[in-house]
Amino acid sequence: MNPSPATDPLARRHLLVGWWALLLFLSLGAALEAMHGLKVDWLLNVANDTRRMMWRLAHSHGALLGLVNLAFALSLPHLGERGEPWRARASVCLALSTLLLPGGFLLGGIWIYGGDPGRGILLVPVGALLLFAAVGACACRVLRRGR
Amino acid sequence: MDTHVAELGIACEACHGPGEAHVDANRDPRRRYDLHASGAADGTVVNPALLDKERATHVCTRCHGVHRFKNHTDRERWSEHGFRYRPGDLLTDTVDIDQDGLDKFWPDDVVRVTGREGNGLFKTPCYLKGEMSCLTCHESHQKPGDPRTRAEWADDQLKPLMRTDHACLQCHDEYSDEETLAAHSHHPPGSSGSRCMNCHMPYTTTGLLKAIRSHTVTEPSAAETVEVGRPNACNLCHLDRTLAWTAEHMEDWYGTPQPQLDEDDRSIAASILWALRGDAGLRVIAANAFGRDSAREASGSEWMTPAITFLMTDPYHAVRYVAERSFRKQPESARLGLAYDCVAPFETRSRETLEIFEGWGARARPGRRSGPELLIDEDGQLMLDVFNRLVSERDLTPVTLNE
Ligand code: HEC
Ligand code: HEC
Ligand code: HEC
Ligand code: HEC
Ligand code: HEC
Ligand code: HEC
Repeated sequence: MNPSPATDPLARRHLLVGWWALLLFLSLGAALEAMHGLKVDWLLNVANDTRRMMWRLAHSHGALLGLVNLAFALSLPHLGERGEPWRARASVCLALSTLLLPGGFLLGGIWIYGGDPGRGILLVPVGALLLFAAVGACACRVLRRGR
Repeated sequence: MDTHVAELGIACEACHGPGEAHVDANRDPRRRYDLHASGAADGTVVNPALLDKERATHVCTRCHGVHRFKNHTDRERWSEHGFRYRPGDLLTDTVDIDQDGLDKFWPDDVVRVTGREGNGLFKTPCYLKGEMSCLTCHESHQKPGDPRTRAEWADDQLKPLMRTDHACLQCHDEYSDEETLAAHSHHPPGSSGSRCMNCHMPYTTTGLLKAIRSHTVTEPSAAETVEVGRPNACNLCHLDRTLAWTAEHMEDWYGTPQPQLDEDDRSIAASILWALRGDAGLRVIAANAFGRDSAREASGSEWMTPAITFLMTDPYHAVRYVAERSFRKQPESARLGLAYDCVAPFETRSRETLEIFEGWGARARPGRRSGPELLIDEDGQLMLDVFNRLVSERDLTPVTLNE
C-alpha cells in the first residue's frame, strides 16, 4: 500500500490548504449572508451589482477549491508513488489556483467600474489555467494507473 | 406592412442617442479598461452632462418643451420615421420652438404649464447669459453614495441640495454671505422668506393637479401681477396682504416704482381676489398656495377657510381637487369626512362644504383675526356682501391650459 496521507508531506500540505480555504471562504459566505441581512448598500445597491457577483463568485470558488484540495490530498495515494515529479508540480498549481482564483474575484469586487470588475479580475484566468493544469495532471494519472 | 420600432418610451437612447456603435465598440475589454484608467469621455455615445448648456437643455426640451414641425414635409416624415432630432443635436435644427400662446404661456410669454420646463429656461437670464441648463439642478441617475432614498431622489430627480439656495449660489455666490443675503431679501437668512427660489421661482406653473415652481427665473414685483396677471412671489407667501402692501415694500426695499392699483387691490388681500374674482387659472394657483406650509406660516391660516371651502364648490374639477388638498390642513376639515369626492355631482359634494362655509361665517370666535383685507369684520364675521360682490365679478372666461 502507498503511504497514508498522514505521513505524506504533500498530502498534509493540501489537507491544510483545503481545510483552511474552506474555513476562510465559508466565513466569507457567512459575512455575505450577514450583509444581505443588514441590507448593506456597499454590496446590495443595484449600482454595486458587479461587486455582489464578484464576491459571491469568490465565496463559491474559494469553498469549492477547498474541497478540491481535500480531494487531492486524499487521492494522492491512489495516483502514483512519492517522489514522482508531476506531484510537486500539480501541487503547486493547485495551491496557487486556490489563492488566485477566489482572490481575483475578491479583489475584482473591491474596486469596480460600473459593470466592469476591477483589475484584480486578471488573476482569475491565471488561476483558472493553473487549476486546469493540476486537474488535468490528476485526470491523466488516474487513466494511466487504471491501465 | 413593414414596420420598424426603435427603443420605446423614455429609455436610454431618448437621452443618450443611438447606442449601437457604443455597444459594438465596448465589446472590446481593452477599450473599456483604457477608458476606466484614463477617465476620458467615451466618444461613441452622447453624455448630456458633457454637452454645452444649449444642447444639454435641448435633450430634455425635446419632450419638456413646446415646439412644432417646421413644415408639412417634416410632419409627414415624422409620421413615417419618427423624430429626426437626436441627443447632441440642436433641437432648433429640426423643429421651431413655440414661446407664446395663451393655452400654455402667460401674456409675457413665460410658460405657465408643467412639462414644458425648457421653455421656462429659454426666458431665464441665467440660461441666456450664463451656463444654466437642466443639469445644473437635475440628474437623471441617482449617484452612488447619495444618502437620499431612491424615492426621495426620484421625486423631481434633483441633484443633492438643489431644493436649497445652493442651486443659485453655484453661480451667484455673492449671496452666500448672510449679510449680503439679508440686505437683498430683507428676511432673516435661513427663513423661508429668504430662500432664493421662493422669490425667483414661485409656484405659478400648474398641471398634474398641483402647482410647481416656475422654471423661468424672474424678479418678483407688483407690476407683474397688474400687467401680466401672474401672482407675484410676495403675495403667494403673504396671502393675507394686499397688492398695495407688496408694492410699498418693493419700493421701500428695491426702489421699484409702484404700479397703478385699483381700490380692491389696495384694500383686499391679493389671494382672496385671485380665489374669488380670478379666472380658473388664478384660482388653482391660489388654491395651491393656501396649502403651502411656508405661506400658512407667514400668513396665518384660520381666515382661509371661507375662501378654500368656496373653491371646493368651483366649476372646475382641478380647482376643487387642489382646494380640497389644501383644506385638509384646516382644523375644520375634521368635519368633512374622508369621502369628499371632487368629481361627484354638485349636490352630493357641496352640501357638507357649504355647511362648513356657512358655519364658519356665522360663528364668530373670540380672538379670531379680523380685518377688511381678509373680509372679516370686527365681530369676527365674514363680510358676505363684499364676498358676494367679488364672486359676482368673477372672470368666467373658459380657461384651457394644455400641460
Ligand atoms: C431622461 C434622460 C436619460 C435617460 C432616459 C437615461 N440617461 Fe443616462 N444620463 C443622463 C444624463 C443627463 C446624464 C449625465 C449625468 C446625470 O445627470 O446623471 C447621464 C449619464 C449617464 C452615464 C454616465 C454616468 C457617469 O457617472 O458619468 C451612463 C453610463 C448612463 N447615463 C447610462 C444610461 C443608461 C444605460 C440608460 C438606460 C437604462 C440611461 N442612461 C438613460 C440622462 C439620461
Ligand atoms: C435652478 C434649478 C433648476 C433648473 C435649472 C431646472 N429645474 Fe426642474 N426643478 C427644480 C426644482 C427645485 C424642482 C422642484 C419644484 C417643486 O418643488 O415644485 C423642479 C422640478 C422639475 C420637474 C417636476 C415637476 C413636477 O411636476 O413635479 C420637472 C419635470 C423639471 N423640473 C424639469 C426640468 C427641465 C426639463 C429643466 C431644463 C429645461 C429643468 N427642470 C431645469 C429646479 C430646477
Ligand atoms: C423622451 C421624452 C423625455 C425626455 C428626453 C426627458 N423627459 Fe423628463 N419626463 C418625460 C415624461 C413623459 C415625464 C412624466 C413621467 C411620469 O410622470 O410618469 C417626465 C418626467 C420628468 C421629471 C419629473 C419626475 C417626477 O415624477 O418627479 C423630471 C424631473 C424630468 N422628467 C426631468 C428631465 C430631464 C432633466 C431631462 C433631460 C436630461 C428629461 N427629463 C428628458 C419625458 C422625457
Ligand atoms: C449656471 C449659473 C447660474 C445659476 C445656477 C443661476 N444663475 Fe442667475 N444668472 C446667471 C447669469 C450669468 C446671469 C446674468 C448676469 C448678468 O446679466 O450680468 C444671471 C442673472 C440672474 C438674475 C438677474 C435677472 C435680470 O433680469 O437681470 C436673477 C434674478 C437671477 N440670476 C437669479 C437666480 C436664481 C434665483 C438662481 C437659482 C434658482 C440662479 N439665478 C441660478 C447665472 C446663474
Ligand atoms: C424676498 C424676495 C427675494 C429673495 C428671497 C431673493 N431675492 Fe433676488 N431679487 C429680489 C428682487 C425683488 C429683485 C429685483 C430687485 C433688484 O434688482 O434688487 C432681485 C434681484 C436679484 C438678482 C439680480 C440683481 C442683482 O442683485 O444682481 C439676482 C442675481 C438675485 N436676485 C439673486 C438672488 C439669489 C441668489 C437669492 C438667494 C440667495 C435671492 N436672490 C433671494 C427678491 C428676492
Ligand atoms: C416663502 C415665503 C415668503 C416670501 C416669498 C416672502 N416672504 Fe415676506 N415674510 C415671510 C415670513 C415667514 C415672514 C415672517 C413673518 C412673521 O413672523 O411675521 C415674512 C416677513 C415679511 C415682512 C415683515 C413682517 C410683516 O408682516 O410686516 C415683510 C414686510 C415682508 N415679509 C415682505 C415681503 C415681500 C415684499 C416679499 C416679496 C419681495 C416677501 N415678503 C416674500 C415669508 C415670505
